[in-house]
Amino acid sequence: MPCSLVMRPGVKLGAAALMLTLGGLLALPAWSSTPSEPLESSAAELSPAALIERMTQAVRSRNYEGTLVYLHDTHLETLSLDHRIKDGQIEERLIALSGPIRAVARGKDRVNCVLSDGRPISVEQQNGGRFLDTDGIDPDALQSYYQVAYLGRARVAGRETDVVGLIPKDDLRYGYRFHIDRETALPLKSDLIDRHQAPLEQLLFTSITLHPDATPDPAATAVVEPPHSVRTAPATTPSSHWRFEPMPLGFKLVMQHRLQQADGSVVEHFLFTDRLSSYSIYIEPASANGLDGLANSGSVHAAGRQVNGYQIIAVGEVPPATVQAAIAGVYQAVVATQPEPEKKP
Amino acid sequence: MIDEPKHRLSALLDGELAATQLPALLDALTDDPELRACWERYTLIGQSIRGEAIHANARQLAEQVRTALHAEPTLLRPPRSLSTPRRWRRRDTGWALAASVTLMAVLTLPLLSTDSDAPELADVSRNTPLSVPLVEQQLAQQFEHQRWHLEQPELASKLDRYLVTHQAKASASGATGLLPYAMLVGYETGR
Repeated sequence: MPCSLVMRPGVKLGAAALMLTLGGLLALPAWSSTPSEPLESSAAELSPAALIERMTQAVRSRNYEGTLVYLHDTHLETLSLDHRIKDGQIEERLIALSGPIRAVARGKDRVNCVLSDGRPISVEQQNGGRFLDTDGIDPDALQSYYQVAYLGRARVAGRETDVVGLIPKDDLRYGYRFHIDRETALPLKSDLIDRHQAPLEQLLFTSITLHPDATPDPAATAVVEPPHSVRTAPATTPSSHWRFEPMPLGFKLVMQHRLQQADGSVVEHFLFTDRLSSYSIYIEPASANGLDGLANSGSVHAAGRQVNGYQIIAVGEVPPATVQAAIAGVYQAVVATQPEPEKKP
Repeated sequence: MIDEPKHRLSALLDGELAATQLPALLDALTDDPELRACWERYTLIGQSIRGEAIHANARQLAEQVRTALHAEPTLLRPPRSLSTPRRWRRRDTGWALAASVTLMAVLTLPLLSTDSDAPELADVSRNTPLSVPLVEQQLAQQFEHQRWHLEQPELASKLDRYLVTHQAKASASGATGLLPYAMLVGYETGR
């Protein structure tokens, strides 16, 4: 069942771009930090946890494609998203519709990217994560560092949505505000917000088409099993000689492994999460391509420094203070050495 | 009467072209300089409508790449393979075709890939059906790396790989799952 604002196939470029731009501008109050309608008493009874669970189920089971508008800084980009469940597996493609060719595709076990520098990236993926993935969000477990709240109703792309906020309580993490379609439960708009609920980036559908089940084959329409989520992974301790203390408040190490790079070198990878936000620390032998200080790409921040001939880099969609604190706490544990046996005369 | 190739070109720019129609359209782009010029015009129109800065150097990029390739010493050119399909023999389609082919490879790889034991962070350019090292060099030089605001393209590419790896391993970065990928694909500050 197609939703509103679906463009006709073959529509000319000029009209399409104009429609997309107007659609993005008209669909909702852009950059608005609050829902367009006040909270009503009946709406207040809606459970954020139930809405998030319903959204997660919808993302896991629906076939859809649409055009997205991505707002960052003062820029607007249009993207095309195609999400299909085929033979029980999710296949997704996200393609930039303007500028240099850029795309990300996810299959069963790999993520492949082609970016504007022309260099493809292919990374093995575990546990079947996906672009609109919300698996593993447990509102009850987030209470220490986030306020989970129903924020009211708003209209997106001409459709009624419920707005749920995961609002950070400090400046060490970002939160999210989801506009969840009342009919389909898909997140028609996702805002990255700070603790003042100011939007840092916004992503919204200007058109979305839901595909009906094309075949009665149960395998093609079955709800995909939820993947294992790092959000629910137990904290672990580093198995290598690297230590991370103190960590940014609320973040814990949940995964570590070694990456073999194309040139044969090895990078140690450590993943940290506060059960919603996450960042990674990569440790490799220092080289000429080192990072000393901060870098950012939108709301994704990276920080780097060198420790004893090793390059430490933290990357994640977290504030700069978090990646800086993350690399500041990295040190090598003193390895206890066995005392040499006394030599016999 | 509808000009079918141009109609499909417009559909491609709008993201409306069916995947099955893409190979034929790329073939047409290879053989038809007028159609390639049309692609550039459409792109220019789109940039103009969106109010984006238009870089003079980006115009007729295919011709610039072709000229640069012709200026290369002959020995530096990769040898031609007799078994190479005809549509990949000509280089004069420049970056647009090369990038399109890379895009096709990237979009189809998830469906074809079974090498779950492949090394992490491996550069799939070794596995793409078209070896275009010179074109990729041209691409790397043409596009200033915007996303990390760094003057070191190698470092910026490394951060891209680390971010993609982080997202893939985090898997359920979920709410975060869409926005970082949108940033990767959509973040272009220079326009």
